[in-house]
Amino acid sequence: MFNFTKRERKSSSTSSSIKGSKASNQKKLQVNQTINREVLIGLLFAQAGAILLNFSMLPVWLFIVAVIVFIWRIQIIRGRWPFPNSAIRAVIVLVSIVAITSTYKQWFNLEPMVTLLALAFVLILLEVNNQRDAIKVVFIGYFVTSCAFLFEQGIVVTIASLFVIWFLTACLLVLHGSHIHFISRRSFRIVSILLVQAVPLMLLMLFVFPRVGTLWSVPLKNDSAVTGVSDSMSPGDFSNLTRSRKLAFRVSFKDNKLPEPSERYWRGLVFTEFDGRRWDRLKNENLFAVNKVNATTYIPTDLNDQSSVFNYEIVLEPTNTPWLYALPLATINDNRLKRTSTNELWLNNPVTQRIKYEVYSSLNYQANEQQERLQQALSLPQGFNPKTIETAKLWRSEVSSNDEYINKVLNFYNQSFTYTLSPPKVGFHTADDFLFTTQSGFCEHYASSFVVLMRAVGIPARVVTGYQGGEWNAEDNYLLVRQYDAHAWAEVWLDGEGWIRFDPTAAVAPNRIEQGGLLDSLSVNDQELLDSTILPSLAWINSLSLKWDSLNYSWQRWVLSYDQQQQSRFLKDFFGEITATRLALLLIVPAIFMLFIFSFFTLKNSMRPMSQELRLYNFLCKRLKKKGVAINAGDTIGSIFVKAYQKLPSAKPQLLSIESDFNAILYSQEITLSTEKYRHIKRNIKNF
Amino acid sequence: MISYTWDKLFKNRFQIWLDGWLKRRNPPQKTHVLKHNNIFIVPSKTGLYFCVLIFLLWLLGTNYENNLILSIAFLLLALMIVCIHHTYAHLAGLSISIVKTHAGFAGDTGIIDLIIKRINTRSYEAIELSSIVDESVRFSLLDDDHVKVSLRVPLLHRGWCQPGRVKITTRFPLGLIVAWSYLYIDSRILAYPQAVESSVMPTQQLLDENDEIVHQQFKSGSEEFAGIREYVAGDSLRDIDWRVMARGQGLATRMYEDHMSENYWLDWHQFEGLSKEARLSRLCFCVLDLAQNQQSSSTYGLRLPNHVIDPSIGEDHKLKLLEALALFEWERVDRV
Repeated sequence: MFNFTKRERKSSSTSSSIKGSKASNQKKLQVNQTINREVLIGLLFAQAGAILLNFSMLPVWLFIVAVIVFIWRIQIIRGRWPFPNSAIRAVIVLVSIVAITSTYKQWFNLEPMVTLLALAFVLILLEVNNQRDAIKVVFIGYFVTSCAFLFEQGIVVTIASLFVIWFLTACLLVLHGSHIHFISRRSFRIVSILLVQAVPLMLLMLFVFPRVGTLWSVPLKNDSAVTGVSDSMSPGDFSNLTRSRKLAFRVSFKDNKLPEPSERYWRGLVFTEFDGRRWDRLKNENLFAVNKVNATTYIPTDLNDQSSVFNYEIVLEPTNTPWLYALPLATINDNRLKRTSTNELWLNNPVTQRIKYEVYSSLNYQANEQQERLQQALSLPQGFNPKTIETAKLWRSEVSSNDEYINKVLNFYNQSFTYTLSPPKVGFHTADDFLFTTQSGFCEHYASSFVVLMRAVGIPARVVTGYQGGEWNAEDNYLLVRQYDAHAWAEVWLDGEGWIRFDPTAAVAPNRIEQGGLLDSLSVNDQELLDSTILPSLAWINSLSLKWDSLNYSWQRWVLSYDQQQQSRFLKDFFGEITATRLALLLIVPAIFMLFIFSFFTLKNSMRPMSQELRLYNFLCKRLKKKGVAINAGDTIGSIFVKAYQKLPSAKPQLLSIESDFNAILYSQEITLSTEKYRHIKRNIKNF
Repeated sequence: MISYTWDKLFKNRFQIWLDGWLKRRNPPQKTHVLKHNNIFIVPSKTGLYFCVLIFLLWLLGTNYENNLILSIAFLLLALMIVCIHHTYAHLAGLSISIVKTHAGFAGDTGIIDLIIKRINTRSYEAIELSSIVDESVRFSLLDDDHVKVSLRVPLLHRGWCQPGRVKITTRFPLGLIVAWSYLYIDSRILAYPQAVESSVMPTQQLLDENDEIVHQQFKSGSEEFAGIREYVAGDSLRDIDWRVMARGQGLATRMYEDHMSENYWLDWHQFEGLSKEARLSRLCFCVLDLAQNQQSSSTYGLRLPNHVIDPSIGEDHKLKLLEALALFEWERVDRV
């Protein structure tokens, strides 16, 4: 008997019997495809690159972790090791937290944050299994790459980062393609095209996109900035600075007009208050707008005397301090800057990034001073340096004028003092010990004791710190001021003349000042104290390093220090006063223009005629028309060639071969036209 | 068992409106060429996350006044803008034509065969084709100029269905931008009635004695020659009596003892009391069951009001029956 089965009929089983065969190169798409080996290896490369970019900042242990993770991942790819289970993951997370905590004192700082990010970036590798994870890795990769610029902004790092971005983009491409290989000409071509097309847009945005300036105060970097001169001066402060070859700032002078070496005193801070040991700035100093020279306080002798007015541009390395350096009587057309009554230049915030500012300095200036300030510049602490004060009074009584007295003091220095970077320790009476016992030291000892000697006899005086000199880069015409150029000198108030600079160090080590050569002024022993890198070894190495520095300098001047100010100046120069409407137009017009051009080509190319055969045919018709062969709508290929033979008998052999090619294309069994054949025919048509 | 119905696929009024709007914009055609007026293009989900990344980089660069970080942020933004064009161009210039449809059951899916050609020389890859039911097929056009893609489409009712809309999507090259197009394929696809299990068995009857071919029941023994009968499509080639054919008497099939010659009639009137669709569903089930479980010699036929299909066997016969069921008193449904 007939038997009905009680089977459930599955819809798929019935329909699959009907389903036709599928094309070979299509496959079912899963929502979370597992990614292939090639992408993973590409990711490993990109990741290694991004981590290495942060080389200077990341702790060593992170690289060890990275290597272990890379090996682990490769073993997973090879199927040797399993993915880590949750217990191992928990251990890894705990250990990393401990490691970061012990490496950095504070959590809320830039370095631990970036380290954490880099660590997450490395560890996520052990998790990556599907496309979505891989995209995450690429995105974090872009971020880690950018973080490298927080610590290092040199040309080398920038170029290296471009490679990493190239790699990351290639990963993204391979992740979204189906037949594209990581290392293939096609992926290279596509990524290059994308990036090359993106760069002009990027530059446009970089120049024109409104800059808003710092939005909120950000955690500072711990040690990337060199403090340079500090805001107080006690014995021994300068000795660390003078051993560092690190760059302080670079100066380019307009029209290459620069002051004599003996005039290159880059003023920083002015110390008026003295407690016997430590020099401090005046308390409660008011800040004035720097571009408004207070007429009662400062009178430049003659602003029209152009010989003593210098215009220059300083690119200051990050110092983490808010004051700036400039030649005396600086006028700066920059709203960010303020000045104090002692003519220091201050910013509102510490310099955490390399900044650029333009200065006008008139070296011949005369200043008035408030009586109060002069009084402050006379005070000496009670019970310090009795011998110095006594000697000063004695010397003053021997001469008739202040000028003579000053000369006498300078002569005194000149007689028996030595300049050294490793001075003997001075005791409680710093000036006494230095002047009459040790008689050897460097700038701060000289400046300090000199001011004490002045104040002791009623001449207002103060200590000024900053930098002196600089190395001239003749290749690119700029002055390179390094940390070992840090200096301290004195300013003395002379009635009728104003504050006059005196540098007692110059009396002892004139080389230091006049030739800007610290090295020349030091004994052999002292030279050994300096970084070994200070010493110029070979001429060509030196010139090479100067060239490299020039390149870096232009990079910094033009690329790194392009900011809000420069942007507005740049825009002003080109487009006049900036208003909101103009800025909007400036952004929108080029954007629309570029979009238009792009769109035009995109539309044109994608709609290019059809088959290659038809394209060849159109091309042939075009060529023939040019040669004067009339082609009508109803003509067949055969009749076109007949006309062509009549009109162009000389070209018959070539035309014959083209015709046979055409016939071959149109009537042969082969459906597809090979690229070579296509090119060959096209060339023939072009050349007949 | 999944059952696609109109209500399940178009859950709310927006979707219904959208479907209508899309259809008006890009009316059904046998061949669609993708170009600027039928391609939609927006940032993908990945692209939105990419925007977040760009924003974070911009924030970092702005706060630290770091031009290089800002440059990267702008470079990535520019990359995204450039991608709009590349993604668009990666879809434009394709032509999609329908070549064939394969019938299915109402509430289930049928299959349409599409052929996708390029009208230019670009390389296309990682392009997804999907229908309203969530299933996508990925294809590429690299060396070939065309590719055939089979796609499952939902069949919402019995009879002739429209394949509904087909979506073609690409995220190439970087996945930041998604370009897609909705295409309404102008074609029709046959949907057989949904099979519903039935407890009523088809009537069984022996052939009349008047029939030309006489079948006898044998008591025992297998594979014993029992005579020949006229060849019917679907008979095994092995059983054909070639000697008969060689005599010029046409094709004849040799019969063996265990070839039960039973005939079944599937009759509309067997399912008295049920609605039209319910009857068709049950008849459909019976057809399928007979086709699957039949002995090679048992034939079956269909009796519908005004339409009788004589008993026979074989795949073609089954499809003929199913088609008759599918189109029985069928009226055009215009919704999809």
